[in-house]
Amino acid sequence: MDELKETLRLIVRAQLEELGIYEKIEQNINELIREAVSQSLAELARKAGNGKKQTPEPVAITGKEIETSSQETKMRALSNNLSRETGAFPEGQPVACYVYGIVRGENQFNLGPIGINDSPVYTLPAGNGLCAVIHHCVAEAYVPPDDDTAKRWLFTHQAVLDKVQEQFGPVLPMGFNNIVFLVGRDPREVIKGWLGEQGEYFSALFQRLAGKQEFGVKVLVEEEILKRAVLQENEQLRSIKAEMESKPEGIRYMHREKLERTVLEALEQKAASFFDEIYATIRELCADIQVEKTKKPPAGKRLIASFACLVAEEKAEQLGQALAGIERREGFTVEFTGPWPPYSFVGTVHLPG
Amino acid sequence: MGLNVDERSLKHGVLGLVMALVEIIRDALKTQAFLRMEDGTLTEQEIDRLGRALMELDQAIEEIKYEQGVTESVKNIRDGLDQIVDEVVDRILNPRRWEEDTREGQRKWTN
Repeated sequence: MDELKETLRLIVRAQLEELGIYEKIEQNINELIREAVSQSLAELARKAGNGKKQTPEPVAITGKEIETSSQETKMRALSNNLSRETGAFPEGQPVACYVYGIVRGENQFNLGPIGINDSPVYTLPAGNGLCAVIHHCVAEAYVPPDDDTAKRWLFTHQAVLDKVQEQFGPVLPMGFNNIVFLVGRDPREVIKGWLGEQGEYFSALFQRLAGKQEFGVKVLVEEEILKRAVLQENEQLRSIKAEMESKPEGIRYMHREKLERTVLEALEQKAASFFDEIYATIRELCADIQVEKTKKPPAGKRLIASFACLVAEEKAEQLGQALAGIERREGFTVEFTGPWPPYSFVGTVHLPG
Repeated sequence: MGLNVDERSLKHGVLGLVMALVEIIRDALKTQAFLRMEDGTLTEQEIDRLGRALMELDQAIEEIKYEQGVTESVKNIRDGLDQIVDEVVDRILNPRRWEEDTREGQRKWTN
């Protein structure tokens, strides 16, 4: 039986390779898994966030994945022998660097062992007024062995950013698991080169983000309330209902099905009009706003809108009041989180390596 | 990365996929039926016949799904397909995504 399986496996693999899609599939599966993992991590962190503040999805900056070409396998085997904790600090040459974010500053400053797995975190100056906040690690993404560890790591990442912000002012945050690694090169030099190259861009970003904070806003409405609103407004739906009486079975079925579809469409429209209304209400209070990808809401509720808002400090209270107004409407729930480092407004930054 | 496929889950998966396809075809048929109904090319009798046929199809599909225990996996497959279609449409309709794609492509080439 095992032999048969093995043969089958080989045949399938040979076929896929002949078609030239084996690597592509492998890559896709990798991406799928990575996506799934990061999503559930964010979810977990949100659930755990009752006591502390909630963690926003760290999706704004996705680092370049560590390549898995065969050339690097050796390197990786080597680095596997090092435990993460022994990533030399900061005198010895590190294999790779985990990047928390970017701050302004000219000097190297040790923040102590506050990083993931108690790694020593420090600021690495590039010489142009920018520093990367990093710790040394091995050339491999952090893969949490269980949920608790995942939570702890995410909170640590957030805590480091909080601490950095406290000490150095505004920070351009990176998402979880951004690691710089290039075969045969000192990652610190790679980072310095990168900060040098992108200096103008980052400086402009700092200017744009000065005095502003990010808030997460989600508006949910109860499905029932939405339905009622739709039925009240829509004449067409009532007429279909009336038509249904006293018709043969097949015709009743057709009308019932059509009614269902019409209701669904009307619900979408209603939700969209709520979205427009809410967007118009809070847009002027935000310096910048991003519409987030919608996630699955809890049963019986519909997610009307999900925003990341960049808000000037003096406007934050006004935003809170506007949202409170929305929350007072029947069936509406508003989730308001923050302030966060501006995860969603640093653009897509590609790490080197 | 090895794939572990046992016979039962394979059957489950394939059946789920087939049922999902059947449902999608049924939905397309329904859409067509509604269009015909609205543009008035069907008599009452024809609408009734069409309705009954579709209703029976509905019942048959539900029964098979229930008997084979694939209701949940059919739902997951359809949700997954919906998501893929959404993404594709989003890419086609939203020029910003093209730019992202191009950049992504270049990045892969230059690295």
